[in-house]
Amino acid sequence: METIAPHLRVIIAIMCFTLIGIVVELIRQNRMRERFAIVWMGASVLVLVFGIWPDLLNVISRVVKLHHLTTLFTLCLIFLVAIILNFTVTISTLSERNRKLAQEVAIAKFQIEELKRSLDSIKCGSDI
Amino acid sequence: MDSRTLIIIPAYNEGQSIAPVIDNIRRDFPQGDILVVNDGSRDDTSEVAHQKTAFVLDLPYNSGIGAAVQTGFLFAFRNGYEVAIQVDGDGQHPANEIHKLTEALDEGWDVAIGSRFVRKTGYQSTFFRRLGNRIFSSLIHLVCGQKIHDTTSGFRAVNRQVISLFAQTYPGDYPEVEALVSLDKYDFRIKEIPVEMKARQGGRSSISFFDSAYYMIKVTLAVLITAIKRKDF
Repeated sequence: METIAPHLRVIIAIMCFTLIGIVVELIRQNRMRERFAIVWMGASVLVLVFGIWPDLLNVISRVVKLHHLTTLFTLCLIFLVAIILNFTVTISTLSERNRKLAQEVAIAKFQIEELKRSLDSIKCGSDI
Repeated sequence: MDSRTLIIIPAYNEGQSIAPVIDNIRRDFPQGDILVVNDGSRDDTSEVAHQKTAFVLDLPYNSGIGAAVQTGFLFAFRNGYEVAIQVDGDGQHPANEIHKLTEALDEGWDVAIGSRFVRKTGYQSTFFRRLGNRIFSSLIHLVCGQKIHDTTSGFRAVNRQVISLFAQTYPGDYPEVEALVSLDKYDFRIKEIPVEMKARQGGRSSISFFDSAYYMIKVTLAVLITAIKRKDF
């Protein structure tokens, strides 16, 4: 079993620190919801684990009998598919709420107009 | 006939045709209240409807036909209407046939669908539309075990129980066929009534030629998904 090339370790390390940096910064600026923050923090930690202990990749590769790069890409792909599925669910929920909100706004606007009209007629009535 | 009847007209850029639609309904079915749900039109649909002193709900942005129609059901539900009738804003649904739908509800049916295909009547639409309808009809027959000829007709009357269902759950785009599946799921009884439909008076169909393929696939999938979906309540 071949070991992971030094340059790959460097790349992993850079990726890891960049990702952690971005995630921490986004959370700090309040631009990421907790739910996603947890997911991305989890991802960052995973990358960190591989960064500190790259042989883990070799261990996994040996178990699944794949080249370590293939293993790496497969793991990334699984993560991406999972997060996209999560996004799809989130978007669906949001558009459903969006629709409900639009409907409530339409009905509320109608009721305001009705109220205004009946208020006006009361005012007119009291003037006479 | 119950006096608490609401006629729901979903309208998207129907400024040209909405006025005669409202007038015809007032003339032929005066006992119903008229509600225009303006689905974020960019033309004067809302103004025209206001001038005609119909109830008007303005959705803040275009939300799709399903959302528009559901807004009408929500309104009907909250205001205690016993019957809701959906009529298109483009003038192809004949106002003088509305009473046939409400009569079917009076006979105890939960849903009455004004259908182009039960008997050969008037406007029959294009060949491809009819082919599509045949396919949906078979699909509905397969999934629900019920023969409905005009599955895409948006000319429908429903009773209070169905209003309550639709106020809570109603499909999004191209909702007509999907709605049938959920009606079947909740064991509502559907009656098809032959009516004479006209070609549209103005505006254009919400389904353009290029959307047809998407339409077929989307509706087919949606029907199958609705069939396996859990009941919400």
